[in-house]
Amino acid sequence: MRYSLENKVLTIYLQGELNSYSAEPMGEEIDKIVASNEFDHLILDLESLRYISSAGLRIILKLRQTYPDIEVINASLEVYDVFQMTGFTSMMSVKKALRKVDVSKAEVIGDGFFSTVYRLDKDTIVKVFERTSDEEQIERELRLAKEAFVLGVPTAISYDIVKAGDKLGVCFEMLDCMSLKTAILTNKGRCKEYLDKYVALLKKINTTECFNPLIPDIKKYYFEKLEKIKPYLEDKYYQKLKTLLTNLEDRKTFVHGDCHFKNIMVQNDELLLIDMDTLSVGHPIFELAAIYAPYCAFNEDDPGNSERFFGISSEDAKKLYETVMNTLIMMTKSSKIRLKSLLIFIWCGGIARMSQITTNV
Amino acid sequence: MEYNLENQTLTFFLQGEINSYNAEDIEKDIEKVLAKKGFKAVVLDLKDVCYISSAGLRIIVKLKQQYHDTSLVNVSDSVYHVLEMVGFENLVKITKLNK
Repeated sequence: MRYSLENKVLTIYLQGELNSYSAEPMGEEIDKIVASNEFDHLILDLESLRYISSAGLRIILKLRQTYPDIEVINASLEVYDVFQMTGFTSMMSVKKALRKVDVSKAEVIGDGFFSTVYRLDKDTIVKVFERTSDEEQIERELRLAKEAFVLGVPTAISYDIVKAGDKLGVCFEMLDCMSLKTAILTNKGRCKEYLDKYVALLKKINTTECFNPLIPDIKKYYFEKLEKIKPYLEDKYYQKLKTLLTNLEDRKTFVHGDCHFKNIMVQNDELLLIDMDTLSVGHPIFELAAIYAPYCAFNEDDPGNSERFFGISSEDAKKLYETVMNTLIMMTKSSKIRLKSLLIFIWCGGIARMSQITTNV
Repeated sequence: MEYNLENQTLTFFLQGEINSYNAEDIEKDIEKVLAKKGFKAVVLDLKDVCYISSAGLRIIVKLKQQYHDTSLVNVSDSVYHVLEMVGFENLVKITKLNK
């Protein structure tokens, strides 16, 4: 029987069928491996296991008595069903094997910095991550995206994590439509209608509450950022930012965190969010700051950014931002100025300046 | 599209594969029946459905948005796997097919 020991994690690979015939010899072999190795954590890898009977389950149960945090990974759908039916899945960690997809002949429909998007079939796409990404991180994001979807935030339907060769990917529904950016630029006559929908979408996101403990709190994230840039800030600015963040009311409503019009798709006149990687909860002011950034702040730090990123002039990007803000919030002129300076302060203090500082250092 | 209205529950009996080739037609058929009103709950009977793609899932999402009391019954294992994968078990009430 094959096994591996790495960083005190013992992984045993089970093969074939684990039934009443093979259970005893396999059980003895496992006992021998366990007895002759020193480890902190035990994992059973079932990738090559086709079938498991109650005799097999009993072996796992026995192992669990000695090693309560034993984990089962790479179970096929059939084997997983047995674990689920017998209640094992609520008793211990049992993970299904990732579905494998072949993208070698698939059409590339999108290309990003961190990922490539392929069309798998007429109705599904797969976003394959370039670097070896952390599976748990992807899984967490996926679960949160699904929760947002169920809570009524309109997003693309997400499927499962898959393996494309040695890289990880996530399957999504194919949205046969265009981005909000394209919609606005090609149907100038319907611009107001689209912007109203954009604002309605922002309101929906920023008023939907989520109490899942897994979801990150954006305020905490900003506090962490602030500590990181502390050495590069004058103390009075650091103190000011800290007071500002501390005084911001804690909220449990969603913040998309990257809600510009390239991350929104229009399907049958309905706006759908894509890219839910930056989803968190917190005060809507963080959403506004993250909207201010791509439409206004980036271009100030990096002239020409609007043309390169959005394909529109910086004046048009600013106008778009103003219109969205005016529709979103009824404001007097003075409160508008105050809000704008607040957003610049939050955004520039927290993120944009930081990248500038760190690249200059 | 087969359907029946009993005890203010409107049940649709869907068939075969639901994908982007036929989803639009199915949705139009369902909408025609929905226009008749006189029901409180909508049920999709998926006993004869072997596959559902995202285009089909979108029909369910829309129904749920319009009619709070929307549920799926007689869902086969393979279709259930898909519904579970996309998180729909938290969106609508799903009853599996009795074996």
